[in-house]
Amino acid sequence: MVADFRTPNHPRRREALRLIVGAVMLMAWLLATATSASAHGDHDARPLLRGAEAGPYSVSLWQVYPEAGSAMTPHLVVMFDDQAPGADTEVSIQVGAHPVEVVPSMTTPGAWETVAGVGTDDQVTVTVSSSEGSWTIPAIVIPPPLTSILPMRLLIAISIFLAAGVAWWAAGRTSRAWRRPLPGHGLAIADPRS
Amino acid sequence: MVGTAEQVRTGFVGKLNGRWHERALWVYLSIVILHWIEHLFQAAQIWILEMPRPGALGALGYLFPVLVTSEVMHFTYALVMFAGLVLLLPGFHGTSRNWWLASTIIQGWHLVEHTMLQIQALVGTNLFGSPVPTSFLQPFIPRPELHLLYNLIVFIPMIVAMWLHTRPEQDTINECTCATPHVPALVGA
Repeated sequence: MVADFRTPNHPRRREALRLIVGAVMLMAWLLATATSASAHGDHDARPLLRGAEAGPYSVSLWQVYPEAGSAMTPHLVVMFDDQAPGADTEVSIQVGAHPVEVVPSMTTPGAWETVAGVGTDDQVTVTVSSSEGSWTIPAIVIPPPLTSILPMRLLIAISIFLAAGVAWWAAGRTSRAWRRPLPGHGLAIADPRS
Repeated sequence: MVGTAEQVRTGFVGKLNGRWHERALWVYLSIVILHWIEHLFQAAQIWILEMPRPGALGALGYLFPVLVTSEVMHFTYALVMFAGLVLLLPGFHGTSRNWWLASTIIQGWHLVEHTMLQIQALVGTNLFGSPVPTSFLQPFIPRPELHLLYNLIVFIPMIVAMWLHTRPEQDTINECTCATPHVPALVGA
């Protein structure tokens, strides 16, 4: 019964709590010690082109911020969708009329990545070549950066006021909590109603 | 109010939701606020200072850039926050409990998102065919904004719950000192 379950020290409740704490600890051990994913801000990848045919290959073109380095514009990543590229496969990219340096991606297996970033309105042409031939995907124009659908400036303003107000409240209440002796430590708390 | 001897909770979780609840709650809130400020720093860098996203490292990120290129800090925090919400839940009663529970459920989803990011990195396969680990809702909202939003919608019900839980009228149903009015005079002092 729910009412029983809510009783302090009810065996089922204690068991449930143990299970939850155990699961959380297990996740902490398994995941926090493992290879980690990149965090906020670094990796907002967006697809520019998906499933484009390049001879026997189906390729996708993504734009992503680099994991390392000082580039402040997102790189292009060419991914092979269905099958891994052969050993003799090469990818070349032209931005406008100029070829740019492309290397096998350090972070995405089987993908190729530009060394430098590309900007909005750049026209990009991708060519995949192997011993069987060479295939060029129709040029695409880099769209404006991905932006949030949320009213971010308003959200940030509200959040700053909320955080400041709560911090002020918490500081006062924390100080009060520490001035008050812990119950059961020799001093009883006066009950103002008595 | 603190209950009578037979009502006093025992065991770590029992004490955490009884005699230690007030202090635990405020320590926990302090951790939440610090992490929240870190997110606000990063959002302000992107949206107010208009810094390039790779350069928006938050406050701690400037001192320890590894924190930004690794998911460990955010994953660990999401885990700690979820554990705190679950562990401190039994101390809440009445309407405040519902608000705290709402916060716990939302944080549960936030933790699922972070866990999925870690799993994608471990397995090497990413959602939506992306070249990098991706959150479920990231195709619609960029990650810094998305996780700022997650933290905000966890924070609001949590604060409502704490505000309700610490109202003086709540003292009659609380098993902790959170709502006990502060009186300088102590019995037995």
